[in-house]
Amino acid sequence: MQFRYIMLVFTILFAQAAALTGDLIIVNGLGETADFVELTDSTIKQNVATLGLAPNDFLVASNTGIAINSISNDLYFFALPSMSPLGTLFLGNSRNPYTGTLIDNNNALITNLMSSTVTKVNIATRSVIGEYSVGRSPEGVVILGRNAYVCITNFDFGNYTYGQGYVQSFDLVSNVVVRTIPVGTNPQDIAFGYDGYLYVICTGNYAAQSGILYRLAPESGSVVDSLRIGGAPGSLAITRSGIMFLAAGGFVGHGEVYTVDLSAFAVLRGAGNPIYTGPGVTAVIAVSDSTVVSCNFSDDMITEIAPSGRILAIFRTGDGPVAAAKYPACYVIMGDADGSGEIDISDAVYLISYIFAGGPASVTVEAGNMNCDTGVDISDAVTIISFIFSGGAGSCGCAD
Amino acid sequence: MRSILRALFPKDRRRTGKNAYPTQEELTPSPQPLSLEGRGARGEGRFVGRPRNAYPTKTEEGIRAHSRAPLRIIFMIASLLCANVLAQDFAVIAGKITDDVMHQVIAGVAVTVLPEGTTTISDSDGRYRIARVMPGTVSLQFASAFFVKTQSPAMLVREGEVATFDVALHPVTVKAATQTVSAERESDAGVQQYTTPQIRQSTRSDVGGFLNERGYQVQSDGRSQYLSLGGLSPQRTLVLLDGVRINPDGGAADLSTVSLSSIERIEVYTSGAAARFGDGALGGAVNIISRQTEPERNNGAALTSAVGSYSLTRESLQLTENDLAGLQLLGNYEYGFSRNDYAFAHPYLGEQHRADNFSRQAGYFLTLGHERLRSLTLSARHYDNHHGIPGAVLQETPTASARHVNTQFTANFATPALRIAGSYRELTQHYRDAQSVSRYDKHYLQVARQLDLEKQWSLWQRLDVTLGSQYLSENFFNDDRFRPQSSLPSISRKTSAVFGRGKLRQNLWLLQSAYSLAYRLDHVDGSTYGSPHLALSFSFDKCVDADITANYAESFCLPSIDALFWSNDVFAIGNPDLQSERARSRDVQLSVALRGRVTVTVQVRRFVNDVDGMIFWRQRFDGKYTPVNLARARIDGTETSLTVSTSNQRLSAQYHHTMQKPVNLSRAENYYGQVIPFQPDQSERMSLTFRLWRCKLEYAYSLTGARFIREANTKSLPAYHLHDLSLECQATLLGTHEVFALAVYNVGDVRYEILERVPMPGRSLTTSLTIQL
Repeated sequence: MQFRYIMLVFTILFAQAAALTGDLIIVNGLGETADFVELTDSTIKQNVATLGLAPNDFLVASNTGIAINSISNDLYFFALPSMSPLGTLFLGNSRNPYTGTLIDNNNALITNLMSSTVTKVNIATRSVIGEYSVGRSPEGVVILGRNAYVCITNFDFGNYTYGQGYVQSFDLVSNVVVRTIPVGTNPQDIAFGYDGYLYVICTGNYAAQSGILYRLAPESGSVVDSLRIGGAPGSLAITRSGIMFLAAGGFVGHGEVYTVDLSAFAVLRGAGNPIYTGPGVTAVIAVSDSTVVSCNFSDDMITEIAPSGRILAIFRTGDGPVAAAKYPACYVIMGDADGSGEIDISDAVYLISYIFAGGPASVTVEAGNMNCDTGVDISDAVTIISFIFSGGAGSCGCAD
Repeated sequence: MRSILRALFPKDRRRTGKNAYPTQEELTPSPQPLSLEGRGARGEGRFVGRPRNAYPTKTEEGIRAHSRAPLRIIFMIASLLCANVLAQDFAVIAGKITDDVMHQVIAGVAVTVLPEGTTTISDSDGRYRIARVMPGTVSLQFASAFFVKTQSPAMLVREGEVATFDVALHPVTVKAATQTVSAERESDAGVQQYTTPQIRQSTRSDVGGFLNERGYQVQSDGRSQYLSLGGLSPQRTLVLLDGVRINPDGGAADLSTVSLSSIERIEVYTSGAAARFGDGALGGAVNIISRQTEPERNNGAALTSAVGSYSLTRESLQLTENDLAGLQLLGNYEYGFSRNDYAFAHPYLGEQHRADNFSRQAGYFLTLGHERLRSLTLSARHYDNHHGIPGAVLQETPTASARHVNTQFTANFATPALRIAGSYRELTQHYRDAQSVSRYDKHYLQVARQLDLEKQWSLWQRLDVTLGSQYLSENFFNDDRFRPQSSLPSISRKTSAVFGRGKLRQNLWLLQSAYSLAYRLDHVDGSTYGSPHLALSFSFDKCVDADITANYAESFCLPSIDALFWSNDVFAIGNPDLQSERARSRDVQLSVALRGRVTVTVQVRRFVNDVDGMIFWRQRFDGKYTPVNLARARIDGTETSLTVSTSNQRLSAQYHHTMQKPVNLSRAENYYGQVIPFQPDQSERMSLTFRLWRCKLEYAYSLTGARFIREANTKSLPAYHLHDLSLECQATLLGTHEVFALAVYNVGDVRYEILERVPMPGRSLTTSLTIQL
């Protein structure tokens, strides 16, 4: 069997990898429109779609885009990449949907800030599956397996104060909260690291309490470690290279982005020496294994930033960018060694060429790591072949 | 009637006296035989020949006359039955108006026939003529801003009669609180005055509705009425009541709270308002003058009751009492309530009902004068306005409410050349929502004390000079009952101002010219602001009345206390570094009037306002709103109006159109060249009024143009068109005067939004009955 594949390698030995492709959809909170950015061409089309009132976030589920509109309490659905409208879904009065994440390509989970609930949504039918209570004033959410981890800010709209912050584990099958993990004040965003830990950024109360990063072990539901960041970071993005970027606002003169080395769990650039970019940084999103794009609300720009702090690219957007989403959701899938956009036999050939014949490395360092083990080796090529011909395990995730 | 009878019964055939028909002796014998032309049958063609046979014999005539009589009678009766009122004969009243001092003619006097209400204005020769007066007992009322209002004795006018009544009016010695004798004339550049007769003719009950009828841009949320002048938002239109500003701090004045029945005069300043009134008049100003006591005014009372759609009820009582031990009293009480629940189309849930949108208003007004102290007037006003504010459609807050309570006392001492006025005003605003997720309970209190001093000189009969000063002390209190830590300590603001105005009139051959220069210097909390106003006007009134006027003015608007010191909360944060707004405005206006049996007036005004530092609330990256100064904005606009009316006031038509474009010219920002949101690109109003007998029928059409609602101009609200109909009829029964009114607003039931996701009610019907004793 392996011989056949080696033969295939020689037949397509000089096959060229497809160019890396990736687009961004920018949500303009003030203009209430969406922009479409083609990173490979470095072009941007402003205001390609009109969104609802006070849009907060955008989700990409295969070829469907979902805008989350907080004031109009609805979701707008678009066909991608054309951004042609598909329909809307009303979540109910006084929900204030904040953000969301995909359960799978057919279903999404939305957090509702004002009603303190989460809503399950069927994307294909654009319908509400169910709405379930969680802690007060939920914001960020991430899903692993059958559990959704929801940031509970515990913000009291009556007296504008923050109570004890939590991360709640919500069982997507039984639709109940199964665990509550105390963290710091105002946990706004949450993401899984490539190291298996769950990371939560607690922004603080914008006064005496400043930002703190928490590292959680999802299986035990316990806080493993915490790191004082300072400032008021509200959004995070983790790159494959193990660097976390934090959007830290900054609306006077310049915006601020912080970085944290997750392997060392130490602040690289913090409140004392932030990365400067356009003012009003509201969100960051990883666009490669080492770089992020920041949304700079106050000067209507997005900037691509390297871990060193160097600004790699600047795009002028519509009015008030607040969030970004990648299209496709993964630029590079683990196992897509040649960056073609899908996992096929050419990836196996590509890896074999790299391992045995000095061929080019995968388009990103982790793109060849089909089985998400310690590195790129022949087991990844075998896993790819097994996936293609024997229905084995697919990709273990995004490589960006 | 007489003409019909003459047509039916020619003289030689009508019955006069004893002989209905000519006698035999009267007939002239004719020797010639009868000959006929044409077919010649008796009764056809023409009779020629002998006169004898030209007339039928008595017997034959009698037969023919009798045979025709029933037809004539029937025709007469039918004519009477089918005759409309216009075919009736009316009376005509005409005369000449002079003053009783110099015996010179007086133009511009409003002459009103009571009780029917027909009004005309005396011409440049002091003459007036009112055609189509209903026969009966009437009296005439003569009203002018500069002469004592006079009412003639009752007179009996018969149909077809032309009655003549000449009158000599006495110059006024004491008048309204803020008026100086010769400075405020209708022809003042940048000022439009509306006097009592015009106000009384309105079918609306409040000042906002009246100004809307006159074509001004009045923005309404179905309950409150806010005036927009100069293309700027209503927050930049200064509204004064007897010279006291009634705008809430940083807010727009609600003109629906000022009842028309308590008003004597309204002055609308489209230019130069800051040189007269100081802070807050960037777009212009409205000065509302309350009714004053007058010994010549009859005692009386008027009760009005109105009901309408959305559970509207409104009651008002007006009392006039002269000579209570020398005191003259004029009082007014109004109460209105509307549940204001209405259906609207929810974008997702279909037809819904907008509840808890109630409105409750109660207002009191009282003026006291004394016959021995005719220069001194005391007045008091109070209104209490409580209403629900359910908010935008998708963010329902059914328990939210707002309450505004305003109390104002004014003492005014005025002689022809000197005016001293003192006033005290207290405005309380209470916003509360105790049950929704975001609870709030905020109290605002503004206390203002004002002292005005003004002295005027008239020199060489051509030059009027006014010098004056004003002292204004304001205190602001802001109390947050749910979050006391967000309350503000008392903040005071003191303004000292001096001002001067000069107006020179000169005749240049066929032109009358006027040159005005005014300047006001305000010192507020350590800062000084100068507001000049220069105006030129030229008038020609030979064959046509033509006026051309040019104005240049500068104005300023201080930041509100809220904008400066709003406590940092999840929704907003103040900006203590805000600068004042400054505007330079210039306009040119041309008006032409052709007067005759039909009067046509055309007016075009072109204006440009450059505003530096316009304050705009903008959202930050953290979602909080904060006020910022836009470096530069320019508002460019044109106002056009056309009015047509017949001399007998039976038919009148008005058309007003405003086109404007406010543009952000701040080069340092991201919105350069974008249209500043929330102002319509155009507005239009047209009305047709028919007066028939004692009724008035009016049709009105209005257009509010599209409005951008985002600074980046990425979203807008569409234009909407509204049609209104109203009918008002008057009657006199048992010595009382009744006015019945029926109005249908938004006949087309148009569903529109004035703000995003804030739907307005549709069609509404209101009926009212006023009884005057």
